[in-house]
Amino acid sequence: MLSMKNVSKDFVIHNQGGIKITPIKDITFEVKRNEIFCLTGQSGTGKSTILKMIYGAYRVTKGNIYLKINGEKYNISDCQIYEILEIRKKYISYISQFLQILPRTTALQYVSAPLLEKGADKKEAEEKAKEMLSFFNIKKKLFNLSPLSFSGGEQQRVNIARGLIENKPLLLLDEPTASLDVKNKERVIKKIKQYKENGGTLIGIFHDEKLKKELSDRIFDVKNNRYL
Amino acid sequence: MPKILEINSLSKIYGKGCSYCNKIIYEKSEESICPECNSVLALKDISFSIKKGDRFGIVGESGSGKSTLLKILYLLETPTTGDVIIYDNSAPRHMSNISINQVNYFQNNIMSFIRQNPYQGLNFNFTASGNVAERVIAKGNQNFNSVREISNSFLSKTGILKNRFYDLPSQFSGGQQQRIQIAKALASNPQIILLDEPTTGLDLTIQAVILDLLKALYEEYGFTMVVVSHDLGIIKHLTDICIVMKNGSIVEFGLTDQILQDPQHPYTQSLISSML
Repeated sequence: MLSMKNVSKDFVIHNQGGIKITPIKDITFEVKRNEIFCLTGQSGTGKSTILKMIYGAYRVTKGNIYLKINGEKYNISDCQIYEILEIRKKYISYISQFLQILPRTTALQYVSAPLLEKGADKKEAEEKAKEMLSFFNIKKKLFNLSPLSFSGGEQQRVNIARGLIENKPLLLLDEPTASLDVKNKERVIKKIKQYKENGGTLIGIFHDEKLKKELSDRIFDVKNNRYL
Repeated sequence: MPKILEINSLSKIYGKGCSYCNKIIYEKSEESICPECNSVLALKDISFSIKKGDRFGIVGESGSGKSTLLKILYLLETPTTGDVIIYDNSAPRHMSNISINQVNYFQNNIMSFIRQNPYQGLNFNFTASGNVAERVIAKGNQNFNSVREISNSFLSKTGILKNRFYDLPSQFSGGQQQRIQIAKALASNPQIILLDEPTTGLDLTIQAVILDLLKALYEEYGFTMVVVSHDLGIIKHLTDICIVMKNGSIVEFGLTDQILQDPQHPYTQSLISSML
């Protein structure tokens, strides 16, 4: 479904004398359809950079990222901006480590937004969002409050609820469970397994070793550019 | 989505211009004043296109040429060279050779312009309702009751209370004046709305309210939005695609999240590093 071929990324920091940082170099791997594929490695090895390149938020310096999905083929490294917007809209959900939200947006608005952007009926979208929030143990009284006032764990669960509400074919997860307790981790695991049963493909970063082993079909060591 | 706006090799020189001006423009040199003839080189060989429904940002510091560009798009200024093409029902219309009547048609029917300063965007001798009505009438509606009904409905939509419809703009706060400008812009049901620093000068809470209002109206009406701002926060929240301008040239073009997270040009990097 997705293959990275000799992908490198350079960041050139111009106002620091043109320092070049290369978090990843010549990375090559393939992700099969309907698998849970885990990226592993210490902090700074470029795991998040890879997810952001797949999502098109970072430009690829060298190499290619091929995406084959629903009979269509793209090379994300060469895609024009409108193609990237289309790929995101149709195929990819991205859940970042941190909640990126305006302070005036409520949890319900934040989680239902992807459905509304696709043209769903407002009432139906809100019902679905309420279901997702309840599943992730977010109390009803918090639905109409800004998630920025929630605890770290609650914020992460709201973030995951938003990412999973649409069921897009490819899900990119950047450390979604770092601040969760055991009970809530189990909820996330259950939902991710459901997502896979429904045909979804996931590329994720999990620091929790137990979670990584329980969920992953394959694990890729980013630092050493090899499957484990 | 089809293209709605196309800008080809657009340059703007204030002054008589000379061959050295052309050299600066086409070599994309950083000078903004010609050392030979003292002309101001406001825009230098700019090209890009915008698709229907885009939320398009133009960012850069003061003097980068972004407001000049917006004035040319709204046909308030003519470019020195180059062309603006507006796709009216998918038919390309070249703005370089149109009559005054056609300029009025595009300004009243196809585009609206929300200015930073309400004194430029509103007629302070007319009431709030009268300002919006002016726009409805310019589009061709001459039925008094219908004009009043449409004008007041747009004022309501932007949060102006019914008992204030017939107050003068000078009796409103800065944020409310911007709401009236937005109502006025929407009243002609334009395909493109151009916004020049729409929240500059407003306090932070009012800025947030205006940004939310613009987002909600975009979702409801689906117009194409071109937002000029020096504030990357506003560009981040209102746009999906943006260009970064410096000294009259485009230095970077991309998805807004790409530009913010992975800026390539030294100038973009310094803009982002100075974000609050």
